Amino acid sequence: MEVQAGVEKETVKERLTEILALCERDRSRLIPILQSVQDAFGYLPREAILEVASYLGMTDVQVYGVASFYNLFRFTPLGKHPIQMCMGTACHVVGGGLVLEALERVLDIEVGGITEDGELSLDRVACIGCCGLAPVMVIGKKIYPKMTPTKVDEALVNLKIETKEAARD
Amino acid sequence: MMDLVELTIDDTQVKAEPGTKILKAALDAGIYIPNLCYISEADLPFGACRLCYVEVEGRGLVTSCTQPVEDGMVVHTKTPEVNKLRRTAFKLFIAYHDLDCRACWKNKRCELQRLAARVKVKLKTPEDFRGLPTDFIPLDTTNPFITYDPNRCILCGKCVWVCNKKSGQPIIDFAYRGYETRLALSSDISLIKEKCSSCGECVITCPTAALKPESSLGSTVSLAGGG
Ligand code: FES
Ligand code: FES
Repeated sequence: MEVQAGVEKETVKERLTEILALCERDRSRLIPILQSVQDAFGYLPREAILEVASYLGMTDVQVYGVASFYNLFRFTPLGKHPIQMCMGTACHVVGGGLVLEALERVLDIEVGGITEDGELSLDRVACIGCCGLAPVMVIGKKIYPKMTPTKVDEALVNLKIETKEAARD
Repeated sequence: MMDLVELTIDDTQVKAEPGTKILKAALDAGIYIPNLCYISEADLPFGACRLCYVEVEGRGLVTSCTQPVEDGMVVHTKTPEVNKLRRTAFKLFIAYHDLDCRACWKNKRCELQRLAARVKVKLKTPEDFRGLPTDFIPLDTTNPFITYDPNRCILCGKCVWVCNKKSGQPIIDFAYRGYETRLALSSDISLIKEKCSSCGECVITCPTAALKPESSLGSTVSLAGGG
């Protein structure tokens, strides 16, 4: 899948050379290396996995095997406005799942995906620590309390307006 | 030559070199113990399938592919406890396996079918494991030589081992976690096409129908596959 919001191949190469220059060439350092790659790009671009693999003398499937094991790593970029839907116990119990489904439907992407224009990405997270407001959705840094499937559209439209206004100012 | 170790397996006196695993000693002596993930040439046993359980007197239940022989050891391969464990292990294999055997290209040549008869378990989704997810996972057809069917993969790890051995590095390896574990062949991180020499070893070693040779794999691998 080509993702527009993904980082350009060339930029990945350049940044990676910088990152890897600071990393020990040792297989046991794989996870910290992947972490710094993700810190730099927000996700693990395909090119980065290939580069890291050859840097450590591993095959790409080995690196991918490790990376895909952990929830920490993602393979698709974050949108400009990352949406997180809480699926912690409290939010789950009061219908977080329905809100998540609504989000998937409205955005036409699946969990872990990103919209075609690269604006929004969708993830599920476990308890963000304000269970009293369940079900909770977070876009960027803003919290949307007591969500329902019908409030999804409203929230997204408002977000669009806010972004437009912010761009104008 | 080192002194041989003597042990008893199912009332038969068996001699084996020290360090040999019980499973190998038994198989060499013509005593069959069900096994699926065992590779005789591998240095380290993978120990994933749990079918090779035996009971060692004074020690209890052990996987015979990992347990080295000892002098005077008394091993039983068919006690009720052993059979029960073995059956559970086997049921876990088929709990989320695509069991439409008649439509499967490997029907009648499948190791899983053979084992089902051995451990006396019917090849239908076991009642006690109904709750496992059984969604159909799309096949991986990105490699022109091999098609990977995760629905029929039992994660025995044999292809990973063989590929590693053949090419010095695994081009096939596991990815993801838990129920989602499957092979990262190529659709995730497509490179196998460039690196795979299409030797077909993985297809030959696959006990089930998870790795299927495509005609482009050529004559090196007979389309009969392994087993
Ligand atoms: S469970 Fe959603 S905030 Fe705690
Ligand atoms: S053969 Fe012993 S665990 Fe598979």
